[in-house]
Amino acid sequence: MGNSVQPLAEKAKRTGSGERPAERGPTSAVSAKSGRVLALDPTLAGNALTIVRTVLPARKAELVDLLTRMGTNIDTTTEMVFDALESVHFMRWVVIEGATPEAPAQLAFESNYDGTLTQHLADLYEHGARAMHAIYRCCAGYPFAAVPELAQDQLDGAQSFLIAGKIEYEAFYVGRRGKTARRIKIESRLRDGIERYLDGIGSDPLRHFANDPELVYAAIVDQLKEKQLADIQALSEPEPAAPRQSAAALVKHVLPIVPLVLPLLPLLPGLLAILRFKERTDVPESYDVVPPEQARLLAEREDFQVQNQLTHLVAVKPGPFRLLTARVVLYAITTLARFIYNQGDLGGLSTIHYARWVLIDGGKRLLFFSNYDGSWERYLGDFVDQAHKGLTSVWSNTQGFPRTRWLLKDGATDEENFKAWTRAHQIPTQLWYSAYKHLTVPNIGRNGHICAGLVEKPATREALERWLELL
Amino acid sequence: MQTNVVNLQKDEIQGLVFTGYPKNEAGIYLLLGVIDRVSARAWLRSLLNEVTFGELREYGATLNVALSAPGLSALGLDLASLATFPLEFREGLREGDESYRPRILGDVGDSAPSKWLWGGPGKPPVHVLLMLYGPKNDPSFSARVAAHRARFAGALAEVAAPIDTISLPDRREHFGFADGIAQSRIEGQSPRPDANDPVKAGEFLFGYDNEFGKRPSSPTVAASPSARQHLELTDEGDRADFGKNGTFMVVRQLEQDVARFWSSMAEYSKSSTGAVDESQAIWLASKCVGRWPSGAPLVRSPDKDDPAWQNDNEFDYRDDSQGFKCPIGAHIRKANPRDSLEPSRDLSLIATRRRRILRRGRAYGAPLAMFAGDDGQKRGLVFICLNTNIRRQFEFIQQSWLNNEKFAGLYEDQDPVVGDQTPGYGATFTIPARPLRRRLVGLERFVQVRGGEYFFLPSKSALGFLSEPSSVKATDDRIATSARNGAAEITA
Repeated sequence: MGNSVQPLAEKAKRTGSGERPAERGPTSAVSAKSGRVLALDPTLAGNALTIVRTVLPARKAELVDLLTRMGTNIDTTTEMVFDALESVHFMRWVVIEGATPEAPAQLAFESNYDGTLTQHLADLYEHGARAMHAIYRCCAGYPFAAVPELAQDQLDGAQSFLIAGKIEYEAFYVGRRGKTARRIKIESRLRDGIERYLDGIGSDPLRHFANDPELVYAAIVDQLKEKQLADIQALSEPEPAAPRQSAAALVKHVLPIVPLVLPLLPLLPGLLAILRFKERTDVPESYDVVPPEQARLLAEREDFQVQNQLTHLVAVKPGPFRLLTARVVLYAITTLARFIYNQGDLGGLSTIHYARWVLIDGGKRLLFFSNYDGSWERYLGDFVDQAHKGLTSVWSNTQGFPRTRWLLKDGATDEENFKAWTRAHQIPTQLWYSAYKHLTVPNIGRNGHICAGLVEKPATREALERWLELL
Repeated sequence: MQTNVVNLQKDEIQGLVFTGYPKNEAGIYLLLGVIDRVSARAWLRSLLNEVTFGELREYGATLNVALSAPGLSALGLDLASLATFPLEFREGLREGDESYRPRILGDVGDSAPSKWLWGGPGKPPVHVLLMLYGPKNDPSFSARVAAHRARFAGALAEVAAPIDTISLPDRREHFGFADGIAQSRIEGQSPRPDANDPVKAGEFLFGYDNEFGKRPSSPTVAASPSARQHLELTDEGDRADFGKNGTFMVVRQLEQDVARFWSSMAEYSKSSTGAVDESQAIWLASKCVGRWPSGAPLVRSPDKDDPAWQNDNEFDYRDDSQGFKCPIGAHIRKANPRDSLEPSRDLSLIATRRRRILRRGRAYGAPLAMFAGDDGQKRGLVFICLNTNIRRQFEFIQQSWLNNEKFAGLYEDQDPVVGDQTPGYGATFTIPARPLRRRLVGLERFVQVRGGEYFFLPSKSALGFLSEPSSVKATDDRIATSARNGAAEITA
């Protein structure tokens, strides 16, 4: 668990002077000259960025190769030093086939980041200017395709090109709010440090401390101060405030959509009749829809650690009715995610770190990105067991989805067909990076509680004993 | 929780689905490969009268037979029909070490498929598994086995050494713990529903509703005249239902290092003076398993063994959410979490009912006493389970529960008894205690996989169809003789 994390602590101390660790090799002109400390706005954590740009047909194969090579060598690739990134929780690049054989492919970038957008992009160029340039040279409209390396004064232009491709999400879910990637890694290191210390004492460490919880706590704190002082000190840094979840915020969030929905209310019976008609006449895809080669290709890239990713692309059913329904449902899900399901629990599921839906091709195709814990089978199984209504309400508006009634019923409860449909529309992701690939959402939450007890010693004996039970 | 009784076509269903024949303490598994298709079919035809079907309470010698995907192909099942079987069955356990299945099942290191005694890549594929069971100390058992060998000679050959099975006293397994106490009841198994909520039959048999209220997709064959003679047509009428009353059977030979298990527990039990404390070692081992050696569950009797509870399977984890009685990572809790999964007891029960298996395996190899030194003999469990959805049931339990170091909020605890103990991701076991936990670190791997395959356990009608001489198609005359060819044909 500690391999990719420990060196980061060391590098974080050194990037202040612009030095790069020697073993990484020569860097691009941009990052060597910038030499600035990347200070992230501490009040912003876990934001979503989606950028979609068209791929030049002549350079598509090159792009896929580059991304695949980097993606299968995430820890060692030199074009972008992923472990040095400070703003990133998760990120991915995926090449999406055009909607028709004539349409060019598109390159989607999805990231979940801390700080402002400008700081995040600066972070990407600080540690991966060569990669950013090599990737976007393959895209249409990139102003610097002709130059082999980006110069310092071209940086702004390159970032503008990216921002021009930025699209807003239709729905966004955050598993653990208010924790920056840096904080998550620090808290994990501290928890690991405590466990290693106790393990070093023996399989029954309590005996060593005369069965006294006070002595255990004092010894742990002493040990951490001695071995991980920087991490302990970092705990006093301010954390992003939890987003305001007041009723006023809810009203402010919902208000913009009211003028769109209100005129439709008198039409509701008619709309429901249209919905039922469509649901009866839609044609679901059949069970044996997943080609074995595709199933194997996807499985080969999964389960190397507890976390996995899912990129899913499906055409929206034609017509304005379906598109509007999808958008309304996605808006509702975002509202629920922000105001109700904001404690690391989505209707009972605690396996999702970050997930979002975006629409591409002018509303013709629906793209879904998820970063989650555990196997694909478990992830989808949990949805079938506990949260099928949410998925059904969104995906029943897309092609081939299992038969649905009243937008919420059946659909994803049809376990075999739902899983086959999902797998059939899942697309391989060439490059996916997680900043803390060995941590689950519950791990992160628990580490937070453990470290809260380090910042402020539990006040009562009872609270102290409960804190010890977290270990 | 429906109370309407399902009518199982028991005469069609192989007896192994209903029972592991506990009264037949002797057993042998023969691992066979087809040599000649026509004579193999004839052999199967002649065997039909001896295959055990139905739910039996009284029985003498029993026999069951199962086929792998290469086996079905070798007997002449065409590619289009094989394609109606799920991908994991067609791939089986024959993929190379770097493939995803060994990774998700934990078949790594010394348990990698390339090192297996049978069933792995590079070994001849096992086409047919012939399972013979007989009463203990029956002098005619070996004669019976010899007679079978004479009968299939020329049609099939043994592609690996047979496995003689034993029944250990007190229904123990080799580590010394009572096993097989928790067994699902299949809906429709008894004449009337009983207090222990039965699991829907479709979880274990094709042709019946499963826990999702749907019939699982059953493998089919073309509706040829021969097929129509034996099998029912599907609803669409263009194919015949081959899978009905059949099920998938996972077989894995698990070698148990009994000496090492107990010497590890003894090591962990050592006091500060360095003296081994055997009762402490047994306590630690029981914490790892979740039951005491007698079978008494820890949640019933956390501090010491209490044989009064040895047959208990009615317990749940409602009073033990933090694992102070039965650790969260203990073997039986990981293999069947019952009501303990988040977010609620009710949802947990629904989810766990959808991930049950019927276990029908047997021990092999001579027993070794607790704390005895290694005697150089091999022993273990031939793990056998039945389910209709290998991915959602067996593979899920193996991957997402047993070998998952992040199970139920844990950090790095794989199953301490059977886990693959990937260094860095597991190999620890947490024993929750107040106020401070105990933890075993550096756990070794005590169970290694020595062979395995995914089989199909056909119904009487399906076996009848397979053994029909007329259902051999002229175009499919190739016989899969090598694992490589077989895999390529079947998964195309």
